Amino acid sequence: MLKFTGYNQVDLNVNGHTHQVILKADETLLHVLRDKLGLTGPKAGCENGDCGACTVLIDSKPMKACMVVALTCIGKSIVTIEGLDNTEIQRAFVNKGGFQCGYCTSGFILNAYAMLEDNPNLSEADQKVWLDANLCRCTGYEGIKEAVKAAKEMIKDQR
Amino acid sequence: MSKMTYYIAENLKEAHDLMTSLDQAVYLAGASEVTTFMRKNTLKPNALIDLNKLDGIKVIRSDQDLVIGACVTLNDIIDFCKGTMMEDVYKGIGDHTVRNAITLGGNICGRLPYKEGILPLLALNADVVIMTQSGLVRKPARQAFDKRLRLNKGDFLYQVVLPKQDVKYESTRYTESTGVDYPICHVLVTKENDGYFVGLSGYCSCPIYHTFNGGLEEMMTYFEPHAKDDSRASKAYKSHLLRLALDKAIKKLEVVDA
Repeated sequence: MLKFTGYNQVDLNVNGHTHQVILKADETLLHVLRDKLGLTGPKAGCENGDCGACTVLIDSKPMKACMVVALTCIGKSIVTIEGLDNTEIQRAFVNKGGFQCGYCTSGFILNAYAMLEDNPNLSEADQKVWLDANLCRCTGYEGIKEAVKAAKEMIKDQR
Repeated sequence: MSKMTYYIAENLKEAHDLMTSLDQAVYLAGASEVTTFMRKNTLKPNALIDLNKLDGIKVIRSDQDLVIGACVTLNDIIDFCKGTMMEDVYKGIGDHTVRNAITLGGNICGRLPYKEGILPLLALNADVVIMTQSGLVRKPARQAFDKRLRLNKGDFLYQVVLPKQDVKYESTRYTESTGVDYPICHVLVTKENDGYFVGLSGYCSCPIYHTFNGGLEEMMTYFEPHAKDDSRASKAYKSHLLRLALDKAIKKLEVVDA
């Protein structure tokens, strides 16, 4: 049995680097990333698992960091928007105007990135299933859809 | 300073013993419900007992039967069970990202009233394997589930075992507006012997089910008294939706059977 009580120093692998972090049992990954590691890409939108603004990748799967107990991430690989570098989906979001205020953008990009890594040939219906996990109040989603479409084309051309 | 302790249980007995010995502990599977209720201050545990490292609790395999560990996520079940009732029922629960966290055991044993994860288990007459004080106990889900999974203190769902069978079914899930929402009413109907199995979620404060030899009116007579008003719909509207779903299901299953 492993036991963590009070404040615990643990190693978290975030964006390819090992960070020593002091964690409590009741802290969510979202707050640890933002408040302890200064990675403010994932946003606190609803903190209820509805909006997807806090989406990060944990072992390559999109997860809502507001619903993840930080201590459960020991030994896992976490990627935030800060850990993506000039990927097709990021370039597509810029080129196609897939954002306005930008608050949902980090979550959308990470979810779309994971989706395209999982299967770049996903049907539109299946894409909708993935991306329904994220909400945007600004764009009306057209720019986001165009960005995902463009990223798919880029991936097809380049890989 | 936070008083909460986080435990990672390394074997079944250890997990059970921890739960029975600790005050105000909760089991942790996917953590999606626990974090939400903790944030809302409606759950204030002193301890979290993480079950994810237990041998066999994250297994999903198909040999003579389909065996699914209680900590398998809904997305993993959907991917493994493509084209089956499990996929059809589970793809409506939460959204795709949240389904990377929601586990079968968490959905069935958690605090939310919908527990749609139990519907296929009841419909397919699956067995549940429960870790108890005296070890693992396997029993039919229909015996173990009455409004909720009946568990003694410390007990937890370990695995479910589903018989491999080709079952004709119809699953209808009504939501208020968007696709991603809790159900107003989720209706699962299967042909069973010469009659029907009907399982409902969202219709009242817990999943309910019954088997019928008769048709639509017998089903409505049984279920209507159970309907409950809630923030999503009135009991009258739920009954209206139930009638539509049952009518559609019976017609479809009669055609399939013919």
